[in-house]
Amino acid sequence: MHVILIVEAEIVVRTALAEYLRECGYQVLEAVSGTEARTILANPATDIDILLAAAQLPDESGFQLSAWARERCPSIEVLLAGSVAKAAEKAGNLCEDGPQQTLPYNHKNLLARIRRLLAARHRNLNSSGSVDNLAPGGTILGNQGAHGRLVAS
Amino acid sequence: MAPEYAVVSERATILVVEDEVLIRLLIADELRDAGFVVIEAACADEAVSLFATGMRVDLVFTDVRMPGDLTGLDLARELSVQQPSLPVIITSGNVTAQDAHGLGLFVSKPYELSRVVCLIEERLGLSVPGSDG
Repeated sequence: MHVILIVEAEIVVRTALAEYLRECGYQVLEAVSGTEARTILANPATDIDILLAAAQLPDESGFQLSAWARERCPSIEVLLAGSVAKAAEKAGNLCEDGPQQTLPYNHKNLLARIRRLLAARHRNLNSSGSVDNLAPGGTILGNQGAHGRLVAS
Repeated sequence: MAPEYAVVSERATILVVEDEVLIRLLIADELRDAGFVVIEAACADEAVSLFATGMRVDLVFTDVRMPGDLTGLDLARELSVQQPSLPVIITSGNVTAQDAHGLGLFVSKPYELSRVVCLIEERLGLSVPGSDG
């Protein structure tokens, strides 16, 4: 079962999204802040496939968190969610193909995105035997390591 | 003794209020494995926000000392007024059962996950008290 870590400070948003993804068959872990997410990511007992983080978190930006996560776990896929004002601007710098979806979360679109990410990851693992060289459609690559996709309005 | 509260046909929803993320993760996973729907809150203030939406919760399992304006005891006190039939289980390594008296069942930390699941099932009328091995 694939494991998704949701990092979202707003409990109502987080709960609804987490429950939807659980019903879709994923194991979902929840964090309310970057600090909590780092604690989970640093826990050897957890093996996260996808980090789904809000661009704005109470204690740090989702961009900082995803950069840290990618550095620590290069195979992790990252989805960032944010508002246009800041997130899209940053996405222009961090992501090759810019905003992907809109906020508030459209659960079905997000699920489709997650499935495509995992399928691409699976294909790349099968073809290269590693996750270091992901093709377009996989994780975004950058100079400081991959930061991930942006889900923004 | 008859349970105060029984969930018959649907999966019961448990609100876990715990600021230690790995502890929260563990107990939430254990409860999901036992068939419950679990909502995770990282502090009592989050729990209050959740109740403000009208979301249905069948039982609250809360820590006491957490960041934010409210403690778990404050939350339990508030719920005892607003939703007196809602079962509350209070857990802590810092306070005693006496501190939680009248507010809910008390479970001291550290606790066994399976024991907590059994207690929750008992409180919801899903099992006979004392029937866990």
